[in-house]
Amino acid sequence: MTAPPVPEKPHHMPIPELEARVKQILTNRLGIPAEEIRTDAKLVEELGMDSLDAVELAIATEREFKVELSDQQVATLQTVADIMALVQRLHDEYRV
Amino acid sequence: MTRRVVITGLGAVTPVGVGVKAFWHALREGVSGIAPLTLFDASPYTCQVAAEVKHFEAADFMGPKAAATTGRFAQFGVAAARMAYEDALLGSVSAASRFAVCFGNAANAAFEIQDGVEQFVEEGARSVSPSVAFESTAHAVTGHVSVQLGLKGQTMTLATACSTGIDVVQWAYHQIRSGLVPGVVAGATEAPLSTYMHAAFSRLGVLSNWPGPPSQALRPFDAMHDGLVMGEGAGAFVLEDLDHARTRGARVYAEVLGFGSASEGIHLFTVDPTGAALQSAVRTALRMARVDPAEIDYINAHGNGMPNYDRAETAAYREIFGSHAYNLPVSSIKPMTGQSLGAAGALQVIAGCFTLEEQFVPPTLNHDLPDPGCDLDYVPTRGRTARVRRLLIAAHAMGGTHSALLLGCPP
Repeated sequence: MTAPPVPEKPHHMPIPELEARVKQILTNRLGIPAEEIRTDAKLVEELGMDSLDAVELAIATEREFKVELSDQQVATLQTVADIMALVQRLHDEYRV
Repeated sequence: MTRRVVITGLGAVTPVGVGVKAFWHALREGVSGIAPLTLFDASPYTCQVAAEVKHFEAADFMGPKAAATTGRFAQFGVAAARMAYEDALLGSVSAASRFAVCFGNAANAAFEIQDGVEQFVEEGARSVSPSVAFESTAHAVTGHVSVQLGLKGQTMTLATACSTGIDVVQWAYHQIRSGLVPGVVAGATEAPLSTYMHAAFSRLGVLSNWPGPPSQALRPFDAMHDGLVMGEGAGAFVLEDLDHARTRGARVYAEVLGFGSASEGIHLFTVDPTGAALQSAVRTALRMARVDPAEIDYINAHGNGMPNYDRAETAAYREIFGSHAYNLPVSSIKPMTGQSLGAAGALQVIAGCFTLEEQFVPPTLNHDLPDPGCDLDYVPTRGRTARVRRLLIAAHAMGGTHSALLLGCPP
């Protein structure tokens, strides 16, 4: 009798890779070089993101990471780190 | 009071250089910007060449965010407009904030529209960028120029195909002449080198299939002319009330003397071989300027390298100018710039300004053996010094519209 397959454990995307890809999305939209974007930077106050940018950011994030973001989730994002955490969580959920 | 209208600033983004100095230097030297296509894989097409803008950095002309999000055609337009604005030294002129903006183009945001449609088809409505609503329209460039330069006068967008680049001069002329504004930042831009547009023009059968070097593919008035080569770029100018310009001590490149436009009213694509509409446009411009045909010293021609266009244009000049047609140089800059649709006329206007300033007419490249129907002096291969006090600029738009602009030396 063969043992049932072990469910694949969710594994985190490596943080450096996640950070680089999120920063590239922000660079593409806001024109700010990736090396100038801190992970604790505030999206609106420091990076100058407006409501249109938020929609574009959501579209680009969904396309880049093959995830789906609700409007509510997007509205809670305040920092670069918040985007990374949300992407990581959604990424893990999709893998379970 | 009769106001006179002059050109006090120039800006250009072209396949032969960014900036009017580089552009004019290339025209003087007969440098072609036509080369193998690099913006996309052209291998499925018979015509695999174009005049692409190289070495252009949008961030040199606008903020980093605008550079990252503005469409290519609008980037070119903003860059050319900023150069013209700075060339005219408008930054220190308080009245400049009341200047109007008039820009035009033919292909809108060809790149961005194609990308957006492809994403929509593949991924659905959720993938559609909201920016499409204002970045892909014809008016996008006009809005960007107004915002980037802080110009608060009326904004106007023209889309008259390949005559757009000189039609914007007419709009600006009337605004200034009627006293509505002291000046206008005007121009035209084009970035049509997407696969979709290239496929359309290819299917239309208007692109050159020249088998030799790309730089020889566009051959105006030559016996071997077989079609046009697409190009991209932008030209912009500051048009200003002469008194306003004099009061502030502005450099004046040229005076706008007259303008005419007429349509064939026959077909959207086929050409009237008599050139009757062009004749009508030029005669209107001459009447407006109160200039006799014999007083025109040079023609910066449409000359797009399509056999029926070249012959009809030549026939019109013979009819208008009579024996004088054989005494005045006629040249086309398109073998150097490519056919940049709406922007083409704007580049001709800039070339015209430098022709007046330096008394030099640029050459028609690749004019080796004249077409039997093209028997004028087309300034083959090399440009030359010439006495030019007044010149004619002509443009022929798909749809059958012809526009003619007369420029003169500064008053």
